[in-house]
Amino acid sequence: MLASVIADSAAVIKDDELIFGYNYYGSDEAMYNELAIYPRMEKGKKKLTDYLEQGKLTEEQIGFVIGALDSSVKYTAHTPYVPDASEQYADASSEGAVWSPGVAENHTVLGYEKVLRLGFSGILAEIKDGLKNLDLNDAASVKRKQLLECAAVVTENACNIGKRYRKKAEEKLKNCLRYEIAQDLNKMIEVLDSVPYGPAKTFHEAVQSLWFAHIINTWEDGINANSIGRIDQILYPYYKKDIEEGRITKEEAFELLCCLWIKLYRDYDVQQAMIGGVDQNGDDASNELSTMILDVTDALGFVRCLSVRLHKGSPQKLIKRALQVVGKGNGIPFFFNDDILIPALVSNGIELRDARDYAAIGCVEITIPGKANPHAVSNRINLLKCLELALNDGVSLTTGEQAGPKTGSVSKMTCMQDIVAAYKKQAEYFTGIACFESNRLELQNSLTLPMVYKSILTEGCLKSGRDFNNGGAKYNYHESMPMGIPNVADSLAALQKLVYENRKYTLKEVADILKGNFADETVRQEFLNRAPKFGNDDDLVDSYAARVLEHFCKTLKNIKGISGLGFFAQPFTFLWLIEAGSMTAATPDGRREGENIAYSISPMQGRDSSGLTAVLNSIAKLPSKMAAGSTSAIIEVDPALFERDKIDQMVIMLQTAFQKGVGQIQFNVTNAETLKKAQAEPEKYQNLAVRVSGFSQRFCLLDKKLQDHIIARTKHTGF
Amino acid sequence: MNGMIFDIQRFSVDDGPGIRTIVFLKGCNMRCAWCHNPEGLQTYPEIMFYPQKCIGCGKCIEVCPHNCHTSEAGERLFLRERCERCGECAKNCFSGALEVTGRSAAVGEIINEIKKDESYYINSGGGVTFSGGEPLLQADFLTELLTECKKIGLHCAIETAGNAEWSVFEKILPLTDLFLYDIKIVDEKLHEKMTGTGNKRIIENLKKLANEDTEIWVRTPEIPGVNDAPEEKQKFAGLLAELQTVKKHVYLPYHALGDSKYKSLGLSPPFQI
Repeated sequence: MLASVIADSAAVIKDDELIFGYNYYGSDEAMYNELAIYPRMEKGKKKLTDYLEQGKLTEEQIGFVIGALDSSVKYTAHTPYVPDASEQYADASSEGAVWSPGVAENHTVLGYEKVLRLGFSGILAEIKDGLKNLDLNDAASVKRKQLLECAAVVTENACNIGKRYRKKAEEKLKNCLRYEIAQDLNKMIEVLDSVPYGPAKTFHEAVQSLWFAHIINTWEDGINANSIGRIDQILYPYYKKDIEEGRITKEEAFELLCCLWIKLYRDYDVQQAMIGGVDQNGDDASNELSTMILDVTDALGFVRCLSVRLHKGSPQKLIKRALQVVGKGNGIPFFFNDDILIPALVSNGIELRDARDYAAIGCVEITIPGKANPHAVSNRINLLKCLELALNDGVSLTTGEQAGPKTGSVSKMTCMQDIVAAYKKQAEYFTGIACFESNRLELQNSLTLPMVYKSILTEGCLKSGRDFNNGGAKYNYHESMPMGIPNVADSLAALQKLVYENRKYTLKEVADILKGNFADETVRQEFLNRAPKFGNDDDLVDSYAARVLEHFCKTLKNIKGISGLGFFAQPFTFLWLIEAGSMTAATPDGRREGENIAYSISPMQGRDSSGLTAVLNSIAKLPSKMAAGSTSAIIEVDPALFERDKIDQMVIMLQTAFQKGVGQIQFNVTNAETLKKAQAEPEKYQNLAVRVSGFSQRFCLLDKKLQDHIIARTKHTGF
Repeated sequence: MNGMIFDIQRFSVDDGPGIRTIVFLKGCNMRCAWCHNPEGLQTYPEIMFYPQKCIGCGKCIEVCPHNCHTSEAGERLFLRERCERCGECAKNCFSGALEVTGRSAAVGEIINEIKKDESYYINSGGGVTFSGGEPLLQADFLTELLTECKKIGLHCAIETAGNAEWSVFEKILPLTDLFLYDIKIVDEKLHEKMTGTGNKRIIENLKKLANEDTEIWVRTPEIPGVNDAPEEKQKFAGLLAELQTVKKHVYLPYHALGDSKYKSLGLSPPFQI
């Protein structure tokens, strides 16, 4: 099916393009063909219906199309038997303790550099070679034959994309009235003669080939966190050659990158690109393109996602330039710490050379481009819910059901150890359930969701004859997301302070207070404000956070996957913190029932009030080197810090934070919007401080008049 | 030994080079009309009241031994005339509507807090800044703090208005790398009017300091209608011309952000534009 999508999807060329190619939805007559692969998923039917409604088809006509799709499903292969999700999983999920999507749409980084290097014809030649040299005495080779033959069909069609676009370009050229566009079309015809059929010979060919390679990936299973990988590494050799041989100017390269960026960010969702970091030998890999890409991002202004890898030897200039872009206010680029993440990957079974090549997939989760099936966002566990259950002998406060194992009544608990032990049992139980479901879904996908294109561009698949979703990749693992760590830490610290140190309440009294959802606001304020909170560089609460993450990572190490390396910890919540919070009762950190939990490993919103270095120090105490899926932290910063005379301090602050052990950071530049929210909900924004020389005052404590004044003078950012 | 402080502020980039931590010492012997740290004026702990944070639990009303707290027609009132600043209300106020500003802190405790950002100081050429209030008023405390900071090799800066005996400067000179020296107004009469004290000693100290082996940045809050007249600025230029070793002179723009602090102390800001 993918092959026919590649073969038949319309070639669409718009004016002023220097890079051609549209992927998936939003593009015109190509849509109905691309959607042909979606009968597999309900979502696809909904999308098609929406699209058809836009096209002013009558209800009857829409019904006809959808009906045809439905009945065509009958003609697909019989679905093999896979056990249903276990009852335990269903219960745990309905209680808000775990969610296991197993695999989300796309969420991969493929080995695109191969397409640039060999062209699809070169890849086809390798495949045909493989078929020729099958060892018929090796029984396993029949599986290899199956995969290789499918791969050949897809690759054959991929070879011809360039030709189809070339034909379209020639048509357009015939009717072209503008000189500049005719020039562009002529240039493009040359490019399309070459790629993606053959290897890329120039920078322009490389960029175009990369884009075609990427489109096919999204035709296979949709756009949703498809990173294009380490783009400054992939494109640099072609750039360097062109510049040295005078075939291109820097401005022309800049323009081509802008065209690529516009393609990447045309539709919703995260299509990441990554720059910087180390090379295979551990040396700095940043190059001229790294900075140029920052410049492109800055110039275009609407880009949603870009990441920078930093290491001890990253040039100051690169860091400064990246921070300047952050200062523009769109919250990008994100920063990833090689010195934490590479050891993390290695300690989870990735070879050092490959670990050094890691790239972000979506917002945060990382993988080894072209070598892994990372099952990103495979499952998530609400650790705060686990604590809630631990304080109630496994009974959920939100539903009254026995949701977790019986870990003991609080009346029998006499010290923090007892509480922590009960919590650990709950966390281990639910982590096991989440991972079991991930494994079940991997089994299901291995039988029902072959990904031929991904198999072609992921090392290990064609060699082993096992499809990408059937354990064929060199590295197979799942990324498992612990949620609510800062809240668990805050809660344990509150229990230690108020129950055992100050003896203000018994544990049973606390359990009842939580059951009553903090009916007495004074009591809630006490739990909120009279115990240390994560993010303030307080060792008591920070060490709880570290122990919770450590326990989670160790728990994962004991769980096996059905193929490969098992489960990597990825302390990242995405926006699911809202859902998780909505299903969790009141907790000892002063959080009411249903309220959000913390974002990833950032301090719970508004609870950090000791300054930026304190937040970073707290995060740095976490064992991020155990989390091979990458941690994530959003740090709120004052836009004044990015001004010319202050930005050097920001560079040093970032380097120092990474030195101390912070694994990943995203900056959120405070803007007028944030300040308005802070006016409306001061409790969530206790950390916002207005600073000038010799003075500091929390924004929330200022008179409204002064607040309005500051809002008015804060530059608006974003668009 | 102990001393009175009212804040330790980390990640400061406006009070000396690099990334710094500021320790604010409580107590000042001037009363500048535009002061933005009114909580630093008195030497003793004070109660700050933020009625917008009050949740109406009534604990303060219960525990106050002098009946300072009441509620009238739904409005929370704090009758400061009766207040003896025992702090019981703030101790029992969980929402933070009542807070004590100023506490007695030991040198060791402060140094431990300062140490937390050592890596940032080292990497950025930063350090610690002592401010306030007027840090020179707690000479022994300040000297001990500086001594301990020097033991761990920190760059030390002092924000001062210079209104102290020269003997205090002598004590701290060998331990201080940078003086951020406030000169508010050069005209003596105007200075007395606007700050409650003369500036002869302040300027003498600055001139003496300029002959010592130390770095000085002179800073002036620019107060519209007060010290921005051309004659005053000329006098200033004249003073600076005599101080050849002063590294830089900085004008700090006036801001009214401290006004809400006055309110929470039960005072009204003495200066309004």
